[in-house]
Amino acid sequence: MADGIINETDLDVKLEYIISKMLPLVDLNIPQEKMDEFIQQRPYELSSSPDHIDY
Amino acid sequence: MELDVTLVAQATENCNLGCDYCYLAKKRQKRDMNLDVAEVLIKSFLEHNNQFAHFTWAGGEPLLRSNNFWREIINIGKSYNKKDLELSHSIQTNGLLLTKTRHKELTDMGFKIGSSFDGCLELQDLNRKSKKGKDVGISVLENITSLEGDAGLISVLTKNMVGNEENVYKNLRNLSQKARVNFFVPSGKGLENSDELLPSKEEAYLSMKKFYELWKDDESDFILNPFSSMIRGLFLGWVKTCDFSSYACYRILGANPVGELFLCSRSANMLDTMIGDIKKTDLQDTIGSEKHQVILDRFSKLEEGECEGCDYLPYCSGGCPIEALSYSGNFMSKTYYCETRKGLFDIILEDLNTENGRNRLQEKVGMLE
Repeated sequence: MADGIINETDLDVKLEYIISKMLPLVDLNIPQEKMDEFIQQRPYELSSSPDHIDY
Repeated sequence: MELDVTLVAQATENCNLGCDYCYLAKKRQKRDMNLDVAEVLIKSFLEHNNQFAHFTWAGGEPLLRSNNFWREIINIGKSYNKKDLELSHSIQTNGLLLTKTRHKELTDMGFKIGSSFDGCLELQDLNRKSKKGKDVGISVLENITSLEGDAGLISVLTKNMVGNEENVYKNLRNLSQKARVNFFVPSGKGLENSDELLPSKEEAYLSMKKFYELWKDDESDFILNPFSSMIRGLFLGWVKTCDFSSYACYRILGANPVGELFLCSRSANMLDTMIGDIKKTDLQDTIGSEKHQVILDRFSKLEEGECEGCDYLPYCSGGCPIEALSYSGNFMSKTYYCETRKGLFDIILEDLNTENGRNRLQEKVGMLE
């Protein structure tokens, strides 16, 4: 493992912790299948680039 | 956990404008990225990622680079895309050189184009003059108008914009299909001018609230962020935009023209946020390194400290860490606009908690069955 890299498990724990907090605050009245589709769309957007708004 | 990571790279530090709120310092180096550096960057990200690779090219002003440079960028991407990833490139310009012809040449190559525009000529000329101090807003406006809605627009919420929301909204909607009103980040030259430019938290809240109400009542398909992203985030569990999400922020790196890697392109002038150098270090050793993980550490620190008990933390992540660093000197602190954001989430939630309001907003953000 290269210098400066923390144990990968630690990194995974940190990422999984943040992901575990991702819970809808408002229910979407659509089937789970459709919900999954929305979740799987592009995983992030840049605040500095409006072209990423195309869902 | 293997995550695809994207890159925002400065194609050049040169610029033809001298914007009051530029995130770069007025006195800075004026380097162009050479193709050797671009090649290593593109190759490294394509090798690291497994599903998609996205490159946003910014500056300085990226359109100061020739079409030959941009053609080579596309060619390099194609030649190293061995895993056949979903590959895309965007250019974020100030619009001054974005003629209809140039736009067509670049989009024909495969670039998506976004432009900055402060919503009306008066504001544009107030904040975004030429390097020599001349008003050039009319040229930018003519260029954007000639594109007939084909470029996404970004405006910056400065003190000067407060009170001009209706005019700005109307223009953005008429000029583009999608736009974003960003909070002002006082860094670089913008930090020097923050007394004149930075709206108070209350002013920022009232201005953003006005934008939200104008957009909410608009029957058109026009997308305005951050509102569309915020609403989707409340449905999905997180807002996907980098300045609202540690998870998204972690997955977007910045590079300067010589290939030094930073936590964000916005911080490419802040050495404390440098996390690697593509010419010296393997990208695999930079992604997930201790210096990179501070973005994730910040989330936990805020949760235990300044943001303890806040229901909106998963949807806000304490805001942009670079903004926090620029404004307060502390990367780990929450955004200056905390109360502004909370207020916006409150009014959006209020609308989502009625059946009519939820249906209306669900439709506006394209999340119907």
